[in-house]
Amino acid sequence: MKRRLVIFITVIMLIVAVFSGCAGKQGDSVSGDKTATGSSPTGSPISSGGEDEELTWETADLSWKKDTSPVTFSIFIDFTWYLVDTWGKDDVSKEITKRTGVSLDVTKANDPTQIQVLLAGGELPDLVFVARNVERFHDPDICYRWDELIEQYCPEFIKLVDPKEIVNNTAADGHIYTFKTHFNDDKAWNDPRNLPSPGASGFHYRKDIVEKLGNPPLKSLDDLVNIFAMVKEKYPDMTVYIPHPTWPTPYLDWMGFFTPDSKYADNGKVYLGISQPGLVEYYKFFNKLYREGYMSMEALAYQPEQFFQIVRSGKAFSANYNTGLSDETNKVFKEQNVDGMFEPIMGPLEVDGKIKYKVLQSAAGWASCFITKNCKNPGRAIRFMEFLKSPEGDRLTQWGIEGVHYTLDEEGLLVRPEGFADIPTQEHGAGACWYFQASGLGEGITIASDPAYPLRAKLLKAIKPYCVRDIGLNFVQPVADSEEMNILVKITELITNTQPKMYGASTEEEAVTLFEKMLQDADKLGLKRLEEYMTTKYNDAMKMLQEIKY
Amino acid sequence: MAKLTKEDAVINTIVYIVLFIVFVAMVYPFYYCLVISFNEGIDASTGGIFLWPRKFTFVNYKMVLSNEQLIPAFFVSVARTIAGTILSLLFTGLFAYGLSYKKLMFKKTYIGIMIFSMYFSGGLVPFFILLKHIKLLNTFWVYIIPGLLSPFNAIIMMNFFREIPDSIEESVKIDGANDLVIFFKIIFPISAPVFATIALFVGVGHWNNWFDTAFFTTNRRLRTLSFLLKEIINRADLTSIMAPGMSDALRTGTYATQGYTAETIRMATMIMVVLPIVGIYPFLQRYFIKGIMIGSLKG
Amino acid sequence: MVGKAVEKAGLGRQLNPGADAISNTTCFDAIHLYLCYGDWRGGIVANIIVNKGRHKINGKMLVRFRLQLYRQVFVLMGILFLFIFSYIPMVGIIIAFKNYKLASGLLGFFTSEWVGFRYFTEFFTDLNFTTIVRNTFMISILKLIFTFPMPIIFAITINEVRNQKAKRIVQTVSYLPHFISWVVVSGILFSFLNQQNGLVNQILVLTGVVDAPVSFLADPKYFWPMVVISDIWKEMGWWAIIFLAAITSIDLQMYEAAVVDGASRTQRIWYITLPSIKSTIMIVMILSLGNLLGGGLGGSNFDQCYLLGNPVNNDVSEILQTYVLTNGLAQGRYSFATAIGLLQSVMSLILIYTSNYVANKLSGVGLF
Repeated sequence: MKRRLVIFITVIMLIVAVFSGCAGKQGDSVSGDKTATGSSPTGSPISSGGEDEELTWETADLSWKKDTSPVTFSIFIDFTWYLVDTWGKDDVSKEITKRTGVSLDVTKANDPTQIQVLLAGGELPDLVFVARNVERFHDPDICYRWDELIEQYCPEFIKLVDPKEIVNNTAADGHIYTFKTHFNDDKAWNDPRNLPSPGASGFHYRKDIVEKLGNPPLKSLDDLVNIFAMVKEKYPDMTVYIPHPTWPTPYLDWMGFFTPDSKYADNGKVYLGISQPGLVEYYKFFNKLYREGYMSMEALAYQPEQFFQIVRSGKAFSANYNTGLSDETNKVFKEQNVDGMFEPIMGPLEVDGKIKYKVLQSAAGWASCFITKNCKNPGRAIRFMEFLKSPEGDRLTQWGIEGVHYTLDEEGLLVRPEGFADIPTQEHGAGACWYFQASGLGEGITIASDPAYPLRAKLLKAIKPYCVRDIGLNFVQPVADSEEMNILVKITELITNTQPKMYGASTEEEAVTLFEKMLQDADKLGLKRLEEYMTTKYNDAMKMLQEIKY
Repeated sequence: MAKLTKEDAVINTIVYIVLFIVFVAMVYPFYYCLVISFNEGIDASTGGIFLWPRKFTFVNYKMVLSNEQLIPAFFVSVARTIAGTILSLLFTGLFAYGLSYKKLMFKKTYIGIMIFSMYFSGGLVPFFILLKHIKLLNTFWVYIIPGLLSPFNAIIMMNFFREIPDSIEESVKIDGANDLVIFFKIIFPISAPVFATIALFVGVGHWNNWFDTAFFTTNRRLRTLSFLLKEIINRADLTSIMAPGMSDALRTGTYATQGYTAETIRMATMIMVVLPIVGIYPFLQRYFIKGIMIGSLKG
Repeated sequence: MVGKAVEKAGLGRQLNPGADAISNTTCFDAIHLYLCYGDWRGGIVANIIVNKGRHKINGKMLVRFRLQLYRQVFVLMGILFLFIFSYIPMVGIIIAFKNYKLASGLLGFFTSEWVGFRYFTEFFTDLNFTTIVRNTFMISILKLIFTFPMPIIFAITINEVRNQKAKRIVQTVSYLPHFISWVVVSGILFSFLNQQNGLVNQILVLTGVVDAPVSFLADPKYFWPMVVISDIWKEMGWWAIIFLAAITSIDLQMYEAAVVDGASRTQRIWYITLPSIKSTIMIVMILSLGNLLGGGLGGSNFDQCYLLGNPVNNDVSEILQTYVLTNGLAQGRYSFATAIGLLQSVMSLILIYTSNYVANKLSGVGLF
C-alpha cells in the first residue's frame, strides 16, 4: 500500500512540477535531480524519502573517490571529425584530472578503417570510443565486461543506473560492456526541459517571402503546395524547394510515415520502413513536386556542403534538413547582409484533413566507450566511468565548470557567461569533448538553453508531443558481420538509389512502377528474413524489459 | 624553313588555340583555389566567387598555421622525404641494376615475382600485423623501410639501365672493379636523369603520405605535415557532417564563429602542400624530362 | 634477344627455335610455364641440358652465378624485401575463401571457417552485378580511348610551338592539376557546373547556347563524359612530360633531312615524331593496361566515382571499387573485400602479361 502511495505522490508531484513551469524552489530540486540523468528513478528526492531507502548518486559512497592518484589511460576516438585530440589543454579536462587523477592519452581516428586495423592487429589502447559496429567489442576476449568490473570495483555503480538503461545496454551474451551515451530513460524524457534529438527533420521556409505573399494559410500540406505555386509565379528566379541530399524529409512525418530505411514495430512485429502500407503515396507526392517544377533533381546529387551553399545564397524559398537550419542560415544572412529570414514550420501539417504527424525517437543512446583487455588498470578505468556517469561528471563534461562556464536559472536551464559563445570549444572543453558517459537529458538541456538556436528549441518543443518512443527497437539492429547486416546494407543501398528515380519519374505511373520494383528487389535481397530476425530480437528485448521489477 | 607556308599558318593557329585553351583550363582552377583560400569561409560557401576574393582574409592560413605541431611535423616530413627518397633510390636502383643485366640467371623468375607483387596484396590488416611483429610500428623507420622498393619505379629504372652499353661496364671491370663500384662510379652518374625522375616520384609520394602516420604510429612526435593537414581538414569538416542520431552538442560552439569552412581550409592546405613541390620542380625538370626519355626507349 | 643471351652463355644456337616456340604460345601457357619452371627459357635450357648430363650444367651454372654474384645479391636483396613486405602479408588472401571476423585478429586468418566461393557467388549474383561490371569496364575503356592519347597529342602540339617562352610556360602549368586532390576537384566541379549559380551554366545561358541551365551533376548522361574530361584535365600535363621528353630526344637531323626531301609539317609529325616515340607510348600503354580497372596510370576511377557519384547517377557511377567500399570495407567485411580484390588482381595480371606479350610481338617493345 505504501509503495502505491509513494508512486501516486510521485506522479502528482511530477504533474505539478510540469504545470508550475518548474518555478522557484521546486524547480531547483527538479534541476538538481534531473541533471542526474541515468540515475535510477528512485533517485528522486521524493522516493528516497520513502520507506525502501535506496541509493542515489548523492547518498552513495562512490568508489571513484577512493583513489584519485595520478593515472593515465590511452584512448582511441573513432570519429575523424572529433574536436579534440589532446588532454589537459582545456578547462574541463584539467578539472577532471584535478578531481579524479585521471589523464588521457588521446588518439583520434584519421580514417574510418583505422579502428578495424587496431582491432584485428590486437593494438587497441586502454579505452575506445566508437559508434559504429559496436557489437565487435561485445567480446570478452577484446573488452572487459562492465558488470563484472563493477561488481569487483564499484558495486554501487550498477544500482545507480536505471534498469531500463541496463537492459538497453545488455549485449547478446547477457553482459554489459558499456553504457551508451545520450540515453534518455522515461523520466529524463518526461522532463519538460528535455527535447527530442535535433536531428529530427525540419522544413524551413522564407518567412519574409510568405509575409510578402500576404501570409496565406499554412495549416495543411495542400496549403504548402499552394504557397509553392504562388512563389513559383511571383519569384520565377527562385528555387521553390531544395531537398537536403541525404536527410529524411518532413513530408514523411506529416503523412504519418517513418523513414523508409528505419525500423518500426507494429503489433509485436518489426518491419523496415519500406513495408509501411501506403508509403507509395509519399513518393507520388514528392514526384508531383518535381513534375510541377518546384524542385530540381540536381539538389539530390549535391554533397551536403553544396546544399548549404544554395540555401545560403538566398536563392531558395524552402529547404528541408534537421531542425537547426533556420537559425544557422539566418545567422549567415545577417553576416552577409542578405535580406531574408528562414523559419521552420512548427509542428504538424494536416494531410487529408487529419493530423497524422509522428516522429520516431530512438532512445537507444549513441556512442560507446569500451575498456579493452589491453588496459592494465581496469579498476581505475571503471571507476573513472562511474565518475563520468555521475551527475557531477555529466555536468562537468557536458556543461563545463559550474560558476565558470554556466549557472542554472530557476527553470534549470543553462545561463552562459558573457562571451562564452566566442570561446572555441577546444579551449573550455565543455560539451563536444569528453562526453564518454554523457546523459541524454544533459544534452537536451544544452540544446534548450542555446541562445544561438531559438527557432530550433521552439520547433523541438512543438515536435515533442508527437514523438514515438520504443526502446525495444534498439535491439533489432543486426550485428556486424552477420548475414542480416548484409541484407540491411543492401536494402538501404537499394532505397537510397531508387528514391531519386521515384522522385524524378516523368509520370506518376512510372514512380509507382519503380516503387513496386523496389519492393520486389527488397524481397529478393531478403527483406522477409531481415524482418523476422528483427521481430525475434524485438520480442526477446520486450521480454527482458517486462522482467524488470521496479 | 624561314618562309611560312599556308600549312604552317594553319598548324600555328591550331597550336596556339590549343595552347590557350590548355593554359586557361589548367591555370584558372588553380587560381580559383587560391582565391577561395583567401576568402572568408561562410561567405565563400554562398558561392559565386570566381575572380577575386569577396571578403579577403588570412583566417584560413592563420587557422592552418596556428597549429603548434606544424613546425615539428614539417621537420619530420622533410626528414622522411629526404631519407626515404635517398634510401629508396639506392635500394630500388641496385635492384633494377641487377635485374637489368641481360645474362642474369633466373631473371624471368625474379621479374615474375616482382610483377606478381605489384597486383596482389594481402590487405591492410596482415600488413599491420607484420609491421607489429617486426617492431616497426611507432618508429620513424616505418616511414622508410616499407617504401624501399617500388616495382613500378624499378621497371622504369631497368629500362633505363638496359640502354647503357655493356662496353662501358666491361672496360671498368677489366680494371678490377666490382659491380657495387660500377654502380656508384659509372651507373649512378650516367643515369642521373632517371634517378632524378624517380626521386621526384618517391619524394612527392613521401611528402603527401599521411596514411602510414595515421595507421602505423601513435607517437605524436612522429606526426608529419601531410598528416596534420589532413587532421585540420577532417576537423573543419565537422561543420558539414552531421549524421542522424549524432549528438548535436558536438556542433555547438564550433559553427561559423571562426570564419572558415571545410572548403576554404581545404583550399588553403592544398596550396600549402603544392607550393614546395612546385618550387622544387624547376630544379628537377631538365633531369626529369631526360630521365623518362631514355628509360622508355628500350631496345 | 633471348637467343643472344643463350648464345653468349655458350649453350648453342640450336636452342633458339625452342625459345621462340614458347614465346608464340598463349599468355596462359606462358604463366603456366612460369609457375612450373620459374623461368621458362631457363626451364627449357635446363630440360634440354638434362639430356646431356646434369652435373655438367650445374657446374656451369655455378660458375655463371659466381660471375654475377654482386648483381645476384642486389636482386636477391630486393626479392627478400618483396618476400617480407609483399608475400608474407599475402597470407591474408586466404580470407577471400573464409568467414573472417576482425575481432579474431591474426589467429583468425587460420582458424576462421572456410566458405569456399561464397563471396564470389554473392558478387556474381548481386542485383547490380551487370551494372557494376558494365560501368567499371566502360569508364576504364573510355579512359583508355580518350584519356590515354591526350598527353601524346598535347606533347606533339607543344613540340610544334615555336615560341620558347610560351612553350615553357604552358608546359609548366599543365602539370599543376596533377597535385589537386580529387576532393578539391569535385568541389571545383560543383562551383563551375551547378545549376543554380555555376559559372559554366551562367555562361551557357548568357550566350544563348542553352535555354535553361543544364543539370551536369545529376543527369546520368553527363557522368561518363565528366569523368573522362576531368581525368584528362588532371593528368594530361603530368604524363605529357614523358612524351615531350621522348620527342625532344629525336635527332634534329632527321627533321632537316625530311625538309630537304620536301616533307610537309604534318608528314614530319606522322613519319618522324610519332614513330620515334612509339616505344615510349607502348610502355606507358602496357603500364596503363595493367591498371585498366583502376583507371589507368593515375588510378583515378575510385576517387572519381566515389566523389562525383551520387544516388541520382548511381546507375552509371557505381563501379567495382565503390561497391567494395559500401558492401565490404565500410562494414569491416574484409573477406568480401579481399575476394573482390582478388578478382581484380587476377584481371590485372592477365592484362599486363597479355599486353606485354602482344606489344613484344607487334613492336618488339615490352616492359620485360
